[in-house]
Amino acid sequence: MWPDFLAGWIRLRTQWRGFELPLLASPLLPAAFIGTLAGEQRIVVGCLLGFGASLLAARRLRRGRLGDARFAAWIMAVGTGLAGFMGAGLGFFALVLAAGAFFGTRHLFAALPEHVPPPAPPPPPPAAIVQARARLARVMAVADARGDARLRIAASAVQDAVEELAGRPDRLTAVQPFLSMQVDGLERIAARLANGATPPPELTPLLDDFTTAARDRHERIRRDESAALALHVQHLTERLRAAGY
Amino acid sequence: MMIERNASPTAPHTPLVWGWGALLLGVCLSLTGFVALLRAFSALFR
Repeated sequence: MWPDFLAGWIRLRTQWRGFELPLLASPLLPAAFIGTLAGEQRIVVGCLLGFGASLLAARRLRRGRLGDARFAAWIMAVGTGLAGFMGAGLGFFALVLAAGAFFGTRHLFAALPEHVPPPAPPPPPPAAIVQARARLARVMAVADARGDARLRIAASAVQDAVEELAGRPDRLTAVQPFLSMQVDGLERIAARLANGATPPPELTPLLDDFTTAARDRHERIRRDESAALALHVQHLTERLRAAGY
Repeated sequence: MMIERNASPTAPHTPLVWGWGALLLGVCLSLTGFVALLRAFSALFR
């Protein structure tokens, strides 16, 4: 009974979240109006800033993202502090009211669900990688259709190197000629074989060379990354030592 | 931090936390507003 009631109440409060703030800050509006009639600019500005802050905080709360309640509480604290200092002329006591507004807002919106914004989608792979994937897929289809294990192994080794590069687009420029040569070569071989060509005896060692070269490239990328990491670790260790830790 | 740890949608004391929050915020904001209103009135009739 009680959990159901609480869940319903939370749903209702989540739906109307944030509207309480301008309502509670509403006495600032007639104060600003009377201040205008009295020609007291300081009161008018303080009250309008306080009410504006409550609107801003409400808008932020309505968004309902993780951390919005905390941010809204800070806005309310600043708004109340300004209204108290400028509008009400409370001096130091305005700080106490600002602290009260901060903790009040934090408590008032505690436990209301806040959603985490979805993470940004990963950047699409470079066009060269997409093309290489598609071309290698065609080569593999030919290899599968012909039952050519060596062609399949060579294409899959090149594919591994391509996938390794997909995560490091900065290295792509340096490896591009090698990649193009391998993919072009395999694609042409696959096209000829698909057209019914009889494979010459030199094709087998050539495909083995393709496989070895692609695996070497794959290994070299990893080796370079490991060397860069080792260098980074050494650099950090030296800096820590130099700093006396 | 403390508030987030203590209050959860299913905790029975959550409405109490809200109540305290509403009271605190209401007192602080209303006090500010009414004092500003009084000050504006006193400036008007001065």
